[in-house]
Amino acid sequence: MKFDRLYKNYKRLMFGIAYDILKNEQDAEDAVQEAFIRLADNIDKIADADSPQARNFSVVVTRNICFNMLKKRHIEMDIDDEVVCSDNSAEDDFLAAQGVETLERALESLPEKYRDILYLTVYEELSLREAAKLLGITYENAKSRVKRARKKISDFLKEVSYE
Amino acid sequence: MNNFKTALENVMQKDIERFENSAEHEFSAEFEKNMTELSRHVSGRKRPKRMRIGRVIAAAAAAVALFAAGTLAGAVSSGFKVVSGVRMGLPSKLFTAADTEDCPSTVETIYMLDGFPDNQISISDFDKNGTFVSSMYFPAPWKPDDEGNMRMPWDDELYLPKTIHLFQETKETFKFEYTDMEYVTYETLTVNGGQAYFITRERFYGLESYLFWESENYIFTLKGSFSEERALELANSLKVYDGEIPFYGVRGV
Repeated sequence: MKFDRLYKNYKRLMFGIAYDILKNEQDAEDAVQEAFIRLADNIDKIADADSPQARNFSVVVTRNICFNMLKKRHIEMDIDDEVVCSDNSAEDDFLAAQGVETLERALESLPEKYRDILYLTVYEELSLREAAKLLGITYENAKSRVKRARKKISDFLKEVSYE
Repeated sequence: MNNFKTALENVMQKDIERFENSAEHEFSAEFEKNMTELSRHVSGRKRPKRMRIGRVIAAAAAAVALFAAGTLAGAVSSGFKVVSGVRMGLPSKLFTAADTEDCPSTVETIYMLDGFPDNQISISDFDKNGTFVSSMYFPAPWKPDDEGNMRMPWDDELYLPKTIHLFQETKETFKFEYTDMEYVTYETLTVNGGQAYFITRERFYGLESYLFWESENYIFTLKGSFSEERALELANSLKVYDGEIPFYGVRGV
């Protein structure tokens, strides 16, 4: 069964990620449990529990739950700003002109929550609403993260190109 | 955007590689139990349907019991009584036992709420990191599955609305700090003169309700799927139970 495969395949990986962020075994277990509940709720979006997609979804969901937990502990976290409105077309052209290695560097410079929303919406081609549901955030929040992530990448790339 | 997708894939792979050889973690018995229940739910086996509110209320009324348990290794915050007893378990090793000869009981007082059938109760308790004791109650004894493992009964009548927890912790417990608050509403109430919180939370299986209330010695939590009015009615019916416990499962750390 798909969920059982997910559980067997990724619980260890998910715990490792959660523990790395939360630094506490009990909190990490709580996060992993919450992540599996979230994955169960979105099980229809996972085609194959043994696929890289399933593994990546598990990672993204776990990470975001951990970040939410940290935020609730009032540990320093970036707060999503309001939606940044901009036209994406020029940014898209700019991104399309970049090489893979440069883009990797740009992505690695991003906070993980921004990478994750880009992964879901660009790589997995989920809608903003689907990505928001998977991450347990609002549509507006997801939209804000995408805009902000794109802007940060563009800023990074422009800075690099000036060097 | 092909390069961008490739870059996203590569970065994700690098993130994952950091953890692929993580040391094996022994998950707690509570975690494993919850995952088993979730798996059964997702698989559709006896899938719990979202109950109509009238039925939920009736089910909750028949389902709640409460016990005061516990032993802490000294780390209970001020304002709440430490119940004397023996701390269960072996250091760093999870185990379960359905026999109090294997594992000393920490139950001192069992509480009941109105409407709970005397012959339908099972209890488990566990000491979580030595900092609090939580207790769970279901309206019927666990039953063996096909492999002989004890399972919580799993159908509409016996699902979520039947649990009640006792937390022996500080008021900080009330903060629900690990809950995703986007889906939570809460109200401040009073039960027998003590402060109480009624919390509702949307979950994938339906609405969860919690009532936390402070009594002289404990903070009690009633968990189920019920209205605020019904939760208060149940909380106010709290009384000590002196009947026999037909099944007592113990889980310690």
